[in-house]
Amino acid sequence: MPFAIYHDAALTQPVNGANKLVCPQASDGSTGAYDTSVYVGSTDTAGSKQLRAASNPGVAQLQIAPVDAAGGSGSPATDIKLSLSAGGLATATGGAALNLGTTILSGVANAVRVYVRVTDSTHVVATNTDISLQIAGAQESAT
Amino acid sequence: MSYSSIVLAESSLVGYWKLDEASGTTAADSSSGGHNGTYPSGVYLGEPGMHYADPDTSVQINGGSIDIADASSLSLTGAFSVEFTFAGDATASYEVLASHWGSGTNGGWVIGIYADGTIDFNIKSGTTTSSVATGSGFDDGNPHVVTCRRNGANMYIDIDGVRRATKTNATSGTLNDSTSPVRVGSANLAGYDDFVGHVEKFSLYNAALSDAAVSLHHGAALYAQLEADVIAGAAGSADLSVTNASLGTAAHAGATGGASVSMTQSMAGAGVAKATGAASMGDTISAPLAIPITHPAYDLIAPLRLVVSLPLTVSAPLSIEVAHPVYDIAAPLAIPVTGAYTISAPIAVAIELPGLFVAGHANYAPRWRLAVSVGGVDMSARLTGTLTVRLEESAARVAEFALLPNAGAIALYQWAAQAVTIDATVMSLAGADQATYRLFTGVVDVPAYDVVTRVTTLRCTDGLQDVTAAMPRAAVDTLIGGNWSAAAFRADAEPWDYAQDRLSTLPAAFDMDHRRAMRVTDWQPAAAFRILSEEHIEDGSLAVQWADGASLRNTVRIGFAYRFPRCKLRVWNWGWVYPFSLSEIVINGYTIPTTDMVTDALRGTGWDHIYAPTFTHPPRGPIEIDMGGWFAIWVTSDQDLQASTKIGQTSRFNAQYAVADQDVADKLVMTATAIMQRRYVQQIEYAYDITVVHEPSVAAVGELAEDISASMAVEWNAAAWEGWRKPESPPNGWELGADSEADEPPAPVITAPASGEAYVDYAPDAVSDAAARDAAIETLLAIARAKIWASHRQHRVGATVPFDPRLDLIHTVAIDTAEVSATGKLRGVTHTLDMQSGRAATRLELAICASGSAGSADSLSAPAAPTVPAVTPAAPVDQSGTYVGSAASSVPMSETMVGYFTNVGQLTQSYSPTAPVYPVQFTCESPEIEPAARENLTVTRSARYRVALPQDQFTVEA
Repeated sequence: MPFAIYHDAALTQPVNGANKLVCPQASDGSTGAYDTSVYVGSTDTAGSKQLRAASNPGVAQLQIAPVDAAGGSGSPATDIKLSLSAGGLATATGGAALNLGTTILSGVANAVRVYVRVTDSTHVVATNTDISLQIAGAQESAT
Repeated sequence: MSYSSIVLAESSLVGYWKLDEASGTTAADSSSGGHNGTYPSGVYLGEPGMHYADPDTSVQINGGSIDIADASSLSLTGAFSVEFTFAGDATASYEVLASHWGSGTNGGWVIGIYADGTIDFNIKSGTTTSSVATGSGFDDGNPHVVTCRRNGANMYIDIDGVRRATKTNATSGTLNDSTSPVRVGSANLAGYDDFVGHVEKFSLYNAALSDAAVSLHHGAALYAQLEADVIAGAAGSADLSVTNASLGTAAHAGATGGASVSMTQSMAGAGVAKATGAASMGDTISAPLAIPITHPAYDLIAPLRLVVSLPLTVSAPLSIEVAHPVYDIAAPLAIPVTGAYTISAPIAVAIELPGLFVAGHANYAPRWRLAVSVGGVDMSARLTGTLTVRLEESAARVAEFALLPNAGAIALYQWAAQAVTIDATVMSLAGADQATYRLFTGVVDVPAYDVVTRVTTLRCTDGLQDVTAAMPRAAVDTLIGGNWSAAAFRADAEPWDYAQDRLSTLPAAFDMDHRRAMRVTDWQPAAAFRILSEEHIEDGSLAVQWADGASLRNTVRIGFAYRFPRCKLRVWNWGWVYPFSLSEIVINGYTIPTTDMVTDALRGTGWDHIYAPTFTHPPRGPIEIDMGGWFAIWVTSDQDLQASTKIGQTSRFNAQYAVADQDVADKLVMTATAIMQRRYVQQIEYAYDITVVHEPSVAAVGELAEDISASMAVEWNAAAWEGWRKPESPPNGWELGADSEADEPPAPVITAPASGEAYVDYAPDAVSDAAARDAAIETLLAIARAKIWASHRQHRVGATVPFDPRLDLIHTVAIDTAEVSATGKLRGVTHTLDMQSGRAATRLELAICASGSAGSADSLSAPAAPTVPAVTPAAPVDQSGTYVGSAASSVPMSETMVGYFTNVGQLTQSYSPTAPVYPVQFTCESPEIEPAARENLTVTRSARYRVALPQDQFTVEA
């Protein structure tokens, strides 16, 4: 399977249009931030494939970032914080890209867990689907 | 590589006709197949070719077709591809470009072009035709490379390197193996016009070409190709430049003035890259062209071939430059590499009213209050203990709660059947009402009173069964649907049972919503209504239960018997001829049979007449008959008839037997014919032996079977039909020489054949006819599928989450924790709200359908009826004989002697006093109905159906 972003550490449930990463929030902010996590990886044989940045494979950083497909409406990308650790969320910058390293190898054990914190800033009752997490310019190849 | 060399290298190629002959009538097959075609008359050979930089010529067809004789290797009944290049101006309504087609089920595939330039591609499996069509405009007279592909249920049309049409739900059945020739330019069939225009390079493949192959073919056909060997450089070496290009007459990489063209498609496994630029037709390359490939993230494979996009004029040297190779370039070394792409994960930020919808949030503690009404009285203030509302698939919704008593007498009878509603209001953390949800609408079912605690407990139900029981069948039909047959179910079932019968044929649940609205919900999960992770699920509440083997059923064997009468009508053509002349009769003193004798004999056979017998009679008297020296006078009289037509002898002048009635002769018979019929019934039973199976489960755990059976019989009075006789007219016998039209026969009416036998399989009404039979079988098939499905969705995942009154049985829920990943439709929901602690929770139970893989599915249509062996009626005895007694040559009578019996006269020379004397009589022997044609017969039909099951997400980690 190609590299993808999954809900679970076993990489069985890809995050996709039919199975989005759902982040509940109260419109009055009473619930505070919503923390969850996703996993970047491939279920192919461990180490048989690699994901690297196409711009300079093996050198450039793979980056995951929140992308707002509808600037000015819905939720802004700055409502999303990313970190490679739960504790890192506290100091993460909303909307900022997160470096995942230069290479992610295939295999469940090699999946990279990305912690996600969603803090609604709109306070408007809605289900906003304009935000997605994206790893752009990725290139998959054999190792 | 040239287009032809690419085509000939395709492993699935079964025929390739370049159509580049300069003369003759043979269109050579350039593949190894050897299936040469034949040009039609009027074709122009050696026309200009249409492929870029290709010396091959094309042909112009002016009606007729290039025929390629049908052959097994050309029978493309599975995945296949057809490719050709054409140019034309379609003027007829529908011109056929290529076909393997015929009328009816002789049609395999056909490709044509409409008058507006739309190209369509049709395939046919049995009588099912699937079509896919492009947009219009391909009749512009320019060359177009067309590739039509069929792969499973997918059909594609690619033209000039672009996907023009796609169909993903075409028939996936085996295509008809047409016996027609493969034709280019025609289908040779009424309603299909012949193509007029140019064609070349027609090829057939017994597989669906890959997208990459199609792209390669089209590129090679229409675009210049620039080929160059890329020489590997050492790791870390400087720029690598290759200047040699094995060009055709001209080539271009898509940009002018020496501008660079970026690689837009990275290396594929075969080392082929395509560069597309912004140049347009007619641009000129006037400066050296460099194509830099910077930072290739792959090991290049030699040779590198660039396919450029447009044929342009080139007036300058071309070069390919591979700059800054990161890796060694070693050949051959194939490493699959994807192009740069973006991995995306959509987020749904669900911003809801505070309170309820964020119940899964870790920071949330739900707040709520209830409003309970009983008999229109608000009982909310008296609630105590725990209130529960339990929802279960295909069962009544049940609520139970306790009330503190009012002062005074307890009269529980007042509670029974009182209307009950329960509403839950969720509140924000600040205690403000946010939204109110109806949890329950129903009636009190069982009231109870505890004398110790003085608490009244009311058990309430939505009354699903009672409401259903009051519904007319038509309403049940509309609500539930499904299949039903009197053979499979009780015809007089009460409405509730009737509803359950219909439900048993569906993979669905039947229950009521929170406002008592009836609904049917498919078992098939939908998109997840909620995704529950560790944050949402109460600690220790997650539970998994696998289906037990004892309840698993992956095979259902269906036994079905259908009994019906085959009503048969057999025809018997009978005849008799008196073998003596009138003179011989008089001389020998023979008697002549009467019409009554013949008619009685025929009637005695038990067969009925279709038409009354027809006779010929002796001539009317008097007639002189020369007796050799003396004369006899032939007369007829009533007296003769009464004496069994004794023929008297007399002298020439003795007139004592004067004719008394000239019509008497018409009652004597010299020849007779009759068309007889026999009605009889054979009871036939179709015995169906049907197996419904979910193959992946059988492969995994072996066959776990259940048997179901049913039968249907046509109820009909066969004896009355068999015993019916055509009325006789006049009353005392069959009317002579005419048919009686009185009294129509009972149904079924069978038209008598000229000879032999005809039959009708009879069912007098729709209760038991063939349609009812097939409906019964399809009902059983549906039951079998539902049984298999139900037994495979017995896996259960349960979890308790903070109170969420939205959750209902119609919802699909996903559970995503470190231990359990499951998605399934809810089969049970229980809301529990504790008045004292304030704790409110919702217990969920997911139904998980899993068997390893979905498997294949067959249409659950009734199989064809069994074939009843034909019984050829034995040849009947059509001709009765004539036997003479009292003569020296007479033999004793026997059972084999059938026909007319008479004796020679005592005064004749042939008379022998010792010879057997026959009773003057007429006998007939009716044909026997063969036992095989009338005895009860059972014929069997076996069939096997596969059912597919959804595979719900279900993984459990230790």
